[in-house]
Amino acid sequence: MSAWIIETDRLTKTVGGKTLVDGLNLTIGKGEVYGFLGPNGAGKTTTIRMLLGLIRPTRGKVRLFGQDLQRNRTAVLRKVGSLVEYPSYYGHLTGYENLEAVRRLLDAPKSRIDEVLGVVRLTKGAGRPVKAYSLGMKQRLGIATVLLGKPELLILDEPTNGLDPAGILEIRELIKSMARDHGMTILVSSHLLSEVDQMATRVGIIHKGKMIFQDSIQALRDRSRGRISLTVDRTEEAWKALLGSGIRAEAADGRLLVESLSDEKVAAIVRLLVRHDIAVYRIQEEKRSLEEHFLALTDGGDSL
Amino acid sequence: MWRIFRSELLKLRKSHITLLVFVSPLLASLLALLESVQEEAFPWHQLLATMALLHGLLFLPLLAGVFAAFICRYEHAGGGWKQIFVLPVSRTGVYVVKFGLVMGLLLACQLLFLGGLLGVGMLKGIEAPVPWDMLGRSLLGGWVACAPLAALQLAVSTAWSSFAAPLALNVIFTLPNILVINSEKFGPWYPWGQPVLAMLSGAQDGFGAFLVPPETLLIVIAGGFALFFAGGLLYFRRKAM
Repeated sequence: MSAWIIETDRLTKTVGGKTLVDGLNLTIGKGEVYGFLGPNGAGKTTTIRMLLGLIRPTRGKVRLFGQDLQRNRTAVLRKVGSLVEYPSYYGHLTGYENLEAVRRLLDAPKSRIDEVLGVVRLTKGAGRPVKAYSLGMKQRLGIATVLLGKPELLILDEPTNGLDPAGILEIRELIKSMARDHGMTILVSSHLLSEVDQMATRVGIIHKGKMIFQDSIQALRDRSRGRISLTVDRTEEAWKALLGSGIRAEAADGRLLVESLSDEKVAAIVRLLVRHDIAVYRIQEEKRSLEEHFLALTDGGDSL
Repeated sequence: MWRIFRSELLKLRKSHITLLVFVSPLLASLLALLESVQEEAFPWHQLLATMALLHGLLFLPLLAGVFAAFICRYEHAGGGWKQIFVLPVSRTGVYVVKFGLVMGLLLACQLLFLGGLLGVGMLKGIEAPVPWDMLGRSLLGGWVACAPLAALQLAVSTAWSSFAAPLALNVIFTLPNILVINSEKFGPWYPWGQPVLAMLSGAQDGFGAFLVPPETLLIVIAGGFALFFAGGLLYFRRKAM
């Protein structure tokens, strides 16, 4: 048995000759908050729908909690709470009745309804018909519904879509507390890195149906760290001097570029150059935000 | 299954669809009241024939479609299907319960119809003993005969996210009923005509498809039901959400 909560094996979905998801190997460990990133139309929602058995994969397998999804669907889904695309609701029922309809399916205790209403702070509006709800309220009702069955795994597809900044912040805090206080494993998809940056422990980046990056958020940060640019008088010699002491630099129009290093390492470089009698005119750090790096990975977000 | 039923019941109760159950029995009763009283050898038979014609020919098939469409409407509208299918319930269970509710509503309709019939009979002062056997067979028969149609309409209603399309389809096929049931050959095979045939199959002055023996009709109905229900369920289980 594997330790992964979610594990997909070469998951592929082809619709009408078009490959929406292509050989995806997605893995999420227990207690992780996994940021599932990609531009719009990259295949995030299609993947999530396959994870939940809403659509069948063309090829490949999904394992949740180490069990095959197709074979143990209901047993597995009991431990999963999910919100796909936009929140589902019955407009003719009140918020409370919406939760009651799902509670009856889950056979959860009745007290759970008031609990989850409290968690998403919807207790006040619970008696109103949902068709009169704002998008933010519907979203919160959706999250309340997700929490009803005390899931061990949350799968949230763009949970902050269409919310105002305050709403986004609120949902983000909620997700963080779910992971922290209840030890839930969480998959959050988003097309904005900044959205999951602050809560994800691991990220997977999907682009045109393919997983192009999957690692800890720290690894992504490391990759996107800035570079140090050195402007010197004799670029060629400086480059050789650095290489001589094992530092690989990139020479470009009178500048040397080195991957971002600790302060001590930068100081060592400067000392080295001075020792070689090379004049150092400027030392600059070229910052590259995580977002820029993400955009670079996904072809500058060509979906926009 | 019980969990699904309780959840569905809540959704259904809060919609106003249940009021439609009263429409047909009321109209049929009113119509029968307006009919002049005649000396009949079998007054209950006559009353049933009067009331069941409108009810079975028009309303029962229409309502089967309306109930099926309505029971799927709130799922299509708010993404309900998606929500149900990520919960630990089987699709088969959901489908069976939905079908059960449609049939339940139709049964309620038949019971109200019976109430209306008895009421009209009393108001008209029919003194002959109530032929329970005949009435029961007619009403139950009409109800059972709705099963293939309800199954067909449920299949269409789950497949099409539009509310109006399945209804339009149903109306289009219900209207020719009056012609189709005149044909001994095609009448029994027509799902929209089966309810009225079943309700009136005991009538003496039969014509057209009414001449078809009830046993034959029952076999056709059972076959049609099995076909439509299995087809709908198979589709529903594989449907991408």
